[in-house]
Amino acid sequence: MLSSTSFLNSLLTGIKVCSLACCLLCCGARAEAAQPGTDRRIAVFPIENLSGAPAPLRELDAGLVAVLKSAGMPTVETAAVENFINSHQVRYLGGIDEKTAALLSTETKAEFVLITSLEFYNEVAPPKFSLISRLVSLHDIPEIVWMGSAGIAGDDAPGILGLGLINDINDLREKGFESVVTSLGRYIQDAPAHKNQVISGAKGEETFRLDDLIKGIKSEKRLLTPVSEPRQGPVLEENQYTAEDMQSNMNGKGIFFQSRYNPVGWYNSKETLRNREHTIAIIPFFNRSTRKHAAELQALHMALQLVDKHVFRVLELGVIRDRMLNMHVIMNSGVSLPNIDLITISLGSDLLLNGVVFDYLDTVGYGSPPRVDFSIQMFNREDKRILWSSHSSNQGDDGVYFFDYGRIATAAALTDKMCHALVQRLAENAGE
Amino acid sequence: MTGSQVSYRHLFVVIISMFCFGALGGCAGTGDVFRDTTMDFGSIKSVAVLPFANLSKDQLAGERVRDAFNTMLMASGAVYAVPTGEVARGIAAAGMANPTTPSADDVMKIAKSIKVDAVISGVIREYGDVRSGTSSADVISLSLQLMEGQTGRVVWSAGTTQGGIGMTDRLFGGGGRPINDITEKAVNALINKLFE
Repeated sequence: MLSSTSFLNSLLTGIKVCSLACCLLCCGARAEAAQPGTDRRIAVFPIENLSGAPAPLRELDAGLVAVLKSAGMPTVETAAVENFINSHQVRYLGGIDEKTAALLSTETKAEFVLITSLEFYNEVAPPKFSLISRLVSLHDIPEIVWMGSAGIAGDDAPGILGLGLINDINDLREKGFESVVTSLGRYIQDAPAHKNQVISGAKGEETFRLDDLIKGIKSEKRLLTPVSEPRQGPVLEENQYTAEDMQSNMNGKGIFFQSRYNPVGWYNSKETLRNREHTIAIIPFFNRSTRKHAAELQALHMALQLVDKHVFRVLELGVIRDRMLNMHVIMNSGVSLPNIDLITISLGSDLLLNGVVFDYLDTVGYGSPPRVDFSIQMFNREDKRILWSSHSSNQGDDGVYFFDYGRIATAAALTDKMCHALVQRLAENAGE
Repeated sequence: MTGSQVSYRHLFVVIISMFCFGALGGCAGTGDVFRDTTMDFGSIKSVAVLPFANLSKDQLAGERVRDAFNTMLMASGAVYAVPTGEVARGIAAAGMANPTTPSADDVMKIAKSIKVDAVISGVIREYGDVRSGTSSADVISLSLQLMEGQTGRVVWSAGTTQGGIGMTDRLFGGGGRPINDITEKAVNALINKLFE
């Protein structure tokens, strides 16, 4: 009797231990599934200098890698990346083409590459530092999955008696790196899904599961109401001003909160892009400004906002550059219709974005505010017509009246705001 | 009622009348618009905007104003302006030596080549800051021509000048409005003249 009881007890204990172990394993598996990007390796390319002036790139490279490592990012060793660059004689580090991406993925086991461009680096007080980074997936055709930028100046937030002033460029660049890496970390921890499911209007692409049916039944109040009670439809109060209305107004749809960074004028073809998710190719912009590399920088800032919006799939700029070089596409004064065909068909993109930069001025010290002036055009592959055309022009002190409150000190921060307002308008056109 | 009171009243009426005539005179058209009355402007659906002739000291003035004009013209929703790259292709195909001053034959060739209903050319007479004494302000002066694609004849022509040194600038100083603002204003003024 005793022996049988002890046997049963030990059996129960064994079952409990096994079930606990199973539960723990399941929890572990779920925790891993919740953080899909933590084990994916990132190759970090050396920083490309687009500032048009000398900068301590070695120091900046080391600083960026150190911040990435301290944030716990799974990076590929710098020596391995340098060996890869040397052995394959990779000369262009401002982007990555398909062939190089495939080789990098195979040789270093990296799934992503982090490409960083230095936009502005100035030590004269107040120091200014701007950079823009992008994470490119190395599978199939490389695609930009995340972008982040930092455009900061030492006098961005001077505070009372100038206690908030930053006079050391090292502090400033540390702040810039941390800002970018924090944003990257947020993406890796919780990668947002593309909004193709949201904007997709094609019913055939949607998958209706049993969970959806149960959820639908549970949320359907009319089915839960007893038959004896009279069924009522939703009660809507007239002229109710909801939070959504306010949000849409703030987004520029209404009349109350128009952004001062909206384009000066824009053309919208009124064609909605709801049917499916669209791939967009940003071809090199034309630079008509006095600033070197202004076109590349403007294209990067546009890409940043498009990626951030998750409405379009943005092709890696290096892939587009490589294809255009291979096809000998030379554009002196804009995109022609044969060019649209050639580029979109070869890249498999639905939309093409091109632009002209007229002003991209950063200032040194306490000089005049930065000024940015550009126009963009978006073309549709199907009918080769312009879907969107706009012209934007702003200064860093637009809308600033008292004590420099709200003044923007760097062209990077200014163009980010302008592109944000522009893409907001563009997304409305896309039918978001 | 004395004679002096009557004469004062008459004088007052005359002054008020003169003021009203002067004010109404300001409302009159400037007379710098030509419009072909036989032309059906509603038939124009697409246009090609040729590079503008630049007579100002700013080398990029032509391209800046053309870009702003293209966007504003399309934003009006009345016509479609073909992309500038396509216009450049048309210019090359038509073999135009000087695209800023096209002949009727050139207009017909380019319209046929890139399939547009009309062609617009323009001249920027002034663009940038002007000085008068101690005051300075930005000014823009431009004129445009619309040519029918089938015949190459000019069917509309207009000009405008915006900005410059005003009375307040002379009295109180200040640099006037930014060049982008007055460019936008000038372009809008011309588009209004086209569609009025």
